[in-house]
Amino acid sequence: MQGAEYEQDSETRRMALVGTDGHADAHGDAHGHDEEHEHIHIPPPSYWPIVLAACITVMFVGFLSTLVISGIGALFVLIVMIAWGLEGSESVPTALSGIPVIGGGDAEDKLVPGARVITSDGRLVGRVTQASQNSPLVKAGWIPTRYGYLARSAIDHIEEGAIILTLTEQQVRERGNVDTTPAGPVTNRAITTTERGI
Amino acid sequence: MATVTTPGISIAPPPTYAPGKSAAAVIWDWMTTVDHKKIGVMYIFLGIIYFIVGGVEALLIRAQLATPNGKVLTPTQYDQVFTMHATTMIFLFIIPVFAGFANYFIPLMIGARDMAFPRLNAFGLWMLLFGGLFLNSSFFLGGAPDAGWFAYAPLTEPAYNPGRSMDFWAAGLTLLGISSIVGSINIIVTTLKMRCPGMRFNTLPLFVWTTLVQNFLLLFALPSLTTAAIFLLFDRHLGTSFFKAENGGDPLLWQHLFWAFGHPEVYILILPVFGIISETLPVFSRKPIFGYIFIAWSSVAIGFLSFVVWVHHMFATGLPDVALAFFASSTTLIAIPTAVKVFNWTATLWGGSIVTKTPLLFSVAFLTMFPIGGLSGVSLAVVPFDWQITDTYYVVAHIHYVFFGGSALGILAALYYWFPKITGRMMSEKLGVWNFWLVFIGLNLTFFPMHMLGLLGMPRRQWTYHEGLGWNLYNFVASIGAFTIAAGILLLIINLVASFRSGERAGADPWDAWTLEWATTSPPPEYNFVKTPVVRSRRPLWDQKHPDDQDWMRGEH
Repeated sequence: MQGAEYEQDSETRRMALVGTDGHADAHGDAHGHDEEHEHIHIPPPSYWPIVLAACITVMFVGFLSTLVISGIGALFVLIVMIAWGLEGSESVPTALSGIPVIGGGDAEDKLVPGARVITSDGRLVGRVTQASQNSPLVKAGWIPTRYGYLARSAIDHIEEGAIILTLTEQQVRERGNVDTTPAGPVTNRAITTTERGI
Repeated sequence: MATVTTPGISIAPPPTYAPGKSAAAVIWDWMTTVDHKKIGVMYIFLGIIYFIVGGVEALLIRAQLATPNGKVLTPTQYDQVFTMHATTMIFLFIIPVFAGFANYFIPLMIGARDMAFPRLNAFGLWMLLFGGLFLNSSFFLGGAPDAGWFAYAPLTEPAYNPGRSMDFWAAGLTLLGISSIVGSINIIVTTLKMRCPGMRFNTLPLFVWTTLVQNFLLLFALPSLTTAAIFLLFDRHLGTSFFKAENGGDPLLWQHLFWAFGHPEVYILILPVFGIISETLPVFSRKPIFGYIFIAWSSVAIGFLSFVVWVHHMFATGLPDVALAFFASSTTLIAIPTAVKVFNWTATLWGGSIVTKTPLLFSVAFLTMFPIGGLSGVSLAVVPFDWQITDTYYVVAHIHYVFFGGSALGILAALYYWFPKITGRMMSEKLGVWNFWLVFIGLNLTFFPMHMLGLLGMPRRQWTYHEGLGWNLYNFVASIGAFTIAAGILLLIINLVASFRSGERAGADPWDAWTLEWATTSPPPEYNFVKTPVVRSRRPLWDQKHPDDQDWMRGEH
């Protein structure tokens, strides 16, 4: 049992803490206080806040040294603000239980940050940025960056460091409006530190 | 440690920063996170780091003043150290730690999953980090700011301060101001718009109430400081004369702009503690808070009044009598809602079943120390008295009883109270009690003698002093006290680290508390609550634990 929440009994108006399974509820299976499905939306991570703060600081460093640095800082502030604005924030959790896993270990072991998401015809969609066991978050593209949780129905199987989709590049484009690049060979070797880092 | 486990709540799932990820992945995770809890932890961590930096600066000051004719620091170094001590403690310790607690606990207390603007939240944190680094880098780039934390003109003008140090100060505070402003917008919007069903203003936890008021103060007071800092940069680099009397400017304009920020700032630094104490005292006296409505709305009154008292910092500048009378009256007036709160907290303890844990020790210490600073503040509202002790150690004693006896003790109470929720582990009570007594004795040894030093005429910011002035003993005792506090803080750090690594498991609700943050696991999952809570009273967990005696059934909020 993970977590707990309030549930209102509409007849007695009493409040009660009801232990529930976080795994199931995180996927919208639980009933909320109003008996409707409650989807949990957690905002995806983003590196733009720290980049913007750094650029603003560079701009101020310029005030104390040379305005050229301020100008460069200001330019990057503008670029980063636009990039931040274009960054997507969609996040729809989906379960991964029951997905075939190739090789040793299970899905949780293999879904580390940095794992590649590859179409059935070998194109790279993006990488896992948040390796939650229930709902890996995938980042695609740089500017603009898009995030999204993988739909279970779109996953064919999981290998070392890679999630292979049931969809072709064309189907991904039609569904997700994301760009793809050649993925390179999918190997069964252990994930290196470089690959695990993002 | 008796741990009360609420039925239906289990130990939290492993946090996402649990072992198993590479170091790079963990660092990246924290750098890109927009989770209000991780951001809150980083705010608190940064604040504690800067607390240590500011504390070392304080020890240098006290080492220099421990004996007459001290030679620990040169006069220039001394000016830099006392300026950066105050700047660090105010802008890089107290404000960030409060921002951390607000970030972590406001969404939990109001039943939300995150802050209203998660990425803006992260941006505020990183601005704090870079602003602090920017400010402190001045130590290595030509000299730290050295004109005092309120940086009076014309001392800060290029003619008297030609280096880069005041540029670092003005630009650094502007960066930190950006951090505070985005943070305050976020907290205000979160509180106003993201409360769970049933969480009316009349049922809002008092920590949320006082933090809401604090952030309105930040939002409206900081622009005055930012404006003043930018005017100063213009004076220093573009040849303007906002504060240059020789060109028609007005040095007193700086004082007005600074204190129009600076006095609300005092309440910015104490209001969240009012909220923290209002959370801890009921839990550890096993009684509802006495006078909830008064505590909540008097915080609002304090918020308004804090904007009309700033001139009491300027009584010695030759203002007209009518101005002196007005601001002396308003300063006395603001003491009333503050003082009545003290009676509220005392009445909460009165007749309660006191549970003597470390958070309570620090809370009660606040209850006794903060009024000393408050009362000396009232004495400073008496204009003829103020003229006598302006810029003496009496004022230093006053402000330290407010900031250390008030803000710092409140922060320590909050650390011990909420550490189990943040980490899932209890802090050591044994170390906590030692920590408490060292800090409590140390603060009184340090700051109480400063009242006498001020009355004996010792000016603040004095590099050293000669023998035979009657100041030796008081200064020596104050220095002993400062190192006693340092020993206490060292124990705190040891306690934090040791408890984080191997403290007793806390469970979801180790204090048998009543607010929503204790309804979820310790530490909470990323989504806080599986389903959005619904509340009917100010003590939702009491209602849950006592189904036949719920507050709302008795007509109580």
